[in-house]
Amino acid sequence: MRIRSRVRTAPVDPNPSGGHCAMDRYRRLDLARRSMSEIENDTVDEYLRGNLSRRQFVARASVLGMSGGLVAFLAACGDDDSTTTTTKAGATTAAGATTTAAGATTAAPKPGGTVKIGCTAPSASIDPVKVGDLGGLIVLYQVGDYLTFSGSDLVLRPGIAEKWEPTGAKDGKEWTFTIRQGVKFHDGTALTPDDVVATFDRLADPANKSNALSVFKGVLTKGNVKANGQNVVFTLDAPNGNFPYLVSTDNYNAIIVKKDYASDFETKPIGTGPWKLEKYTPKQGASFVRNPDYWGTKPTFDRAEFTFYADEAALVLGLQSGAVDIAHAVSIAGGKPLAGGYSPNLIPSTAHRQLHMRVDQDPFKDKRTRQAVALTLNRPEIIKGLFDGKADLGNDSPFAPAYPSTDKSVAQRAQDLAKAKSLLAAAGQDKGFDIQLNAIKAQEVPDYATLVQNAVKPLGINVKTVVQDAGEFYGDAVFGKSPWLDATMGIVDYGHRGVPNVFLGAPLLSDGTWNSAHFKNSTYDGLVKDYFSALDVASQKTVSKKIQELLLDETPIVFAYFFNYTSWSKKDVTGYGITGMGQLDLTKAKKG
Amino acid sequence: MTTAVPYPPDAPPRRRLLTLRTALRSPVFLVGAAVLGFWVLCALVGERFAPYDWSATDPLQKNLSPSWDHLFGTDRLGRDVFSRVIVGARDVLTIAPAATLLGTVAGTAIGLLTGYLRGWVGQVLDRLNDSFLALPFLLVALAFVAARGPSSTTVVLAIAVGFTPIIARTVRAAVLVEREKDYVVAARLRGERAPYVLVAEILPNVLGPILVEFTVRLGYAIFAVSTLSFLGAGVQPPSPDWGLAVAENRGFFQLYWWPVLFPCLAIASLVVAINLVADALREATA
Amino acid sequence: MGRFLLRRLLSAAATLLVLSVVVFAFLNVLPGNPGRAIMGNLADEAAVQALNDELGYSDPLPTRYFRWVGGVLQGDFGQSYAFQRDNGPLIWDALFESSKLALMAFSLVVPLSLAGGVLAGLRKGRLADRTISTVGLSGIAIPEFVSGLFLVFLFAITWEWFPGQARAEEGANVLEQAYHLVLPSLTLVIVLFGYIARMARAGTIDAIESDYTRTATLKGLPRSTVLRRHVLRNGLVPTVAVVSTQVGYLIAGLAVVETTFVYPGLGSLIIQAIPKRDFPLLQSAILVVGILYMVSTLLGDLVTAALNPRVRLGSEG
Repeated sequence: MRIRSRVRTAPVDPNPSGGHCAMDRYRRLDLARRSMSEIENDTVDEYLRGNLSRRQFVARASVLGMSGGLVAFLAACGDDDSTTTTTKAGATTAAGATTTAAGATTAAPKPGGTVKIGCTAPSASIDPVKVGDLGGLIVLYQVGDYLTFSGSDLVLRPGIAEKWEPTGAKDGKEWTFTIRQGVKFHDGTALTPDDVVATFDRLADPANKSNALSVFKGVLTKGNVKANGQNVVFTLDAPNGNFPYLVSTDNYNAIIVKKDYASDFETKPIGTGPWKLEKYTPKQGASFVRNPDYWGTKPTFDRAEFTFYADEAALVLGLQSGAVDIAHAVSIAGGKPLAGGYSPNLIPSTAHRQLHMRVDQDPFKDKRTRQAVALTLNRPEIIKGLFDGKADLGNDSPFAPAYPSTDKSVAQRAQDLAKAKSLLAAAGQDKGFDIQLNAIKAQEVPDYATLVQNAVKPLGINVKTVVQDAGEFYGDAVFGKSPWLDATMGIVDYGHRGVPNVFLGAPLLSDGTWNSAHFKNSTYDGLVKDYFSALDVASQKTVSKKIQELLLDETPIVFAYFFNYTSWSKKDVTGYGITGMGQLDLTKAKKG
Repeated sequence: MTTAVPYPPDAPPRRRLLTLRTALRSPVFLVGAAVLGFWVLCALVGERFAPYDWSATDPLQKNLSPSWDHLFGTDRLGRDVFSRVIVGARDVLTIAPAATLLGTVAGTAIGLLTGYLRGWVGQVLDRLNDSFLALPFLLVALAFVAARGPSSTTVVLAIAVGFTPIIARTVRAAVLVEREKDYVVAARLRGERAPYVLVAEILPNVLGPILVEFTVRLGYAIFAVSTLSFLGAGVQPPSPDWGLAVAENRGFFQLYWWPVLFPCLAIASLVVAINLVADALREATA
Repeated sequence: MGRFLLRRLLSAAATLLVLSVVVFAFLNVLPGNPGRAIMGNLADEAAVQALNDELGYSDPLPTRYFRWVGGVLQGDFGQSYAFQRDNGPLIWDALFESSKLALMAFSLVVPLSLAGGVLAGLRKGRLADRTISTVGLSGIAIPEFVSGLFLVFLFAITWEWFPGQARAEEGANVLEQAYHLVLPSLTLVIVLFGYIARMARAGTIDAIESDYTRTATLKGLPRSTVLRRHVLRNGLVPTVAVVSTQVGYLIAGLAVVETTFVYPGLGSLIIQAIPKRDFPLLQSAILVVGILYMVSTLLGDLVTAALNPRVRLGSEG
């Protein structure tokens, strides 16, 4: 018997009237709260008290696996700008900020045809275990599914997992995911919880040298994932309040593949996704055909053809010349020539640059010197110049304004040259100094370096910029053999993450592998440990406030901005969605 | 490989002063020299005459189109393009001549040796030379920059390394012709040692083609500096270098043509000027 | 002629051997680590190390050199680090694409510039000569990326006459492909016209002023016969030599044009491989460029020798 997958649709309050909400609200809320866990109730409290924005509430609630219907109901009552968005999974959640192009949900599109996409070329071979770049994860996403989907609004949505929740002691050490039934791999076999277990064992096994180890190290150990009926139970090394993000599209290596997968993805690209990989030509392109047996919303188009471009300027030209329908993930600056003639689709992200100053080397040994440098930057102006304002202000910690756990009561650092001068004088460096700034050659980074160079000039600090390509800049990426990690002052690129865990760890912990600032602070290390294990947003916020204040004071790294991307399409191409990580969802894309 | 040199230098000795005077009278030479002179002046004192500080950024004044305030408009960081074009002559007019000179000296030395020596030294040098020549110049320079990390010094060395075998080949061809001539044969019969014959007898007589080659290479060096900068392997930001400016602003060419077009015109005018000078010199020596 | 050919072939083989050592030594002192360059800074160190081991990058230098050269001798160009597949097909595909572009550019520029050059040579010092020379000079002076972008701006974006990208859609017919190659070919024509026309002009002038032409004219031969028999034939000798060296340029030095027009040729393959530290691909691709250059120079020399016996004798002396 053929099992037709049932698409879960959460009821969204159809009545937009606030009165109805107000009347119904307490009755329904009261009923619901009786069945909620303590953490869930706490989250609702935070939201009702106004400590969480609607957007942050929806995001937080999604991590905890709270009922979609209730979340939608609450969110819709919070304010009235909520819209309905759908993910590739087909589940409907109420949330504001989404990146589904306008017109996504109107009128049923006519099936058939081909959609053409231009994007960055994958930099290495495509293997779910090894992939580490945008081009690669875009290809993976078409073919595969994740347990959960992390939207660009930071809201988690169901994928292969229908629902999830902290179980056991409910302290975030044990998480249970219920696996969707009726999901089929491209070769026709049914997906089982065993495939999920094998996938995560493979990623967490140090012997496989998976790229996902940077996420799972200290979080998940091989063998601690168990199938239990239709459920998969993860027992973590330590409580982790953000674990559902770590198995989402954010952790792009975690697509669910068959349990006997043998590192042969390019020849046998078997996933459960909406598209089947038809042909893959390194550095040139990939073509996909519609998966007629997909469990979620089946793609509108019959075919999707990807063309890989070596650089952004070429990608933009590709769209202009009509070679592609969508130019995916273009920087704000790079997409400028497209304004007017093409439709933008903003991808909010927490991607950023880190300007580090080595705390163990002169002239930055004194924290006042580091503070002085940070105080010279006119951040709003930098954002205006580099991103036309389409970026969030950074406050010298990984806590981007978009994260629900960010404590926004911590004062934003602003330009203050007088204070900078007096701090520098207090540090005994009132005459300034010469310093070399190593910057990676990536997008706007060289321009950012130029702006930094000019900003510190009034302090008498004379910066010499050295821009290096990725190969040279990362070097061996171990201390002593890498300009990135060894330079006294440097700028490196970091991509988007749905939670700040990675940003808080490797670049700043005393034993962090990417600690280019050579920052060693046991108070900080302790705080981060507390943050990782905090399960509810209130306790996360208590810790994050302390972390934000500590980092502002120490300033090992300047976080000046968190920037957004844009995908551009021909005006008649609509309906495609994008995750913050950069995955492109084409299932609902349509032309005309 | 002698065939690749199209101009067997048969210029009789001791006519160099005369040729220089002939060249000076040619209008082509004068136009070229005037443009070249203008850019040299800009490189030397341009910073003092530029209306704005070439490095001053102002994100709020970015991408302004040309106006009386900003003759050539402003770039993506709000810097004055006119001032940057004026000062932009500096890097290229330092790097290109230095690289060409270095390449010419090294190439001349190698060319003299390989052209004159018959033994295994000549053979080995010849093979090395050929293997380098078998690589497109640009790739040699690119790999070299990748190996050493981009900086002005690296670009000088890269271009010099790339030029050396090319110049060596020209010199070698000239030497091959000269060494069979009577005056060299006579010197050898007199019992002069090789170094003397090379430096005192042959070198003065191959200076003509070397000078021409130098000017031609200088034009190409400027082209090369710009191209390396365009490919991101040249001069470092925030230098106002022209090639770098084109590379940095190329993505916005169709929106904001001024930060691309003006540096392009500058590159073109400079290289054309040098080529005119080189051409006039060659005509005069031929 | 046979001895000449043999000598040239032997010396080419020796040069290739030296070239392989030079290229290998040169590239492998590049700083950086391919695994890290491929996977980016956010990749886990163990994963990077594993990739390096898998790629064979962790082996000592001599092992890597002999593995490479041994492979090449058997027709195996090794495995690309970045793409993790055989270099051979990668290089041949790119070369095939470059050849299409080169062929198109060549078929436009050679007749055009020879005609221009000879005309300029015959009318030395007159308006036609000065115009052709100045246009040629300007073309040489403007870097490819500038003229290329300018052509795109005018013909692809403003007027929309030609596509701004060199690569046609998959399965496109010859005409469509040629249509896509118009702008990049024109960019190359702009650069090459000056070079070749200049050589043709100089060769023509040399020939006109040479004794044998003067003798022929004095003998009373008609001007057209003198032109055909002496001027053209002798004037073309240096031109052929230059054209043959430009084949090397055309196939590999296309890098800038290919980068500007997003064309998957050999030049752009090499340029993209440098920041990735894809040593095996770089080594092999550069070696192929070297071989191509030598073959074309050799062919050029043979043609020159056939046209002008003096060169042949000179080389053997």
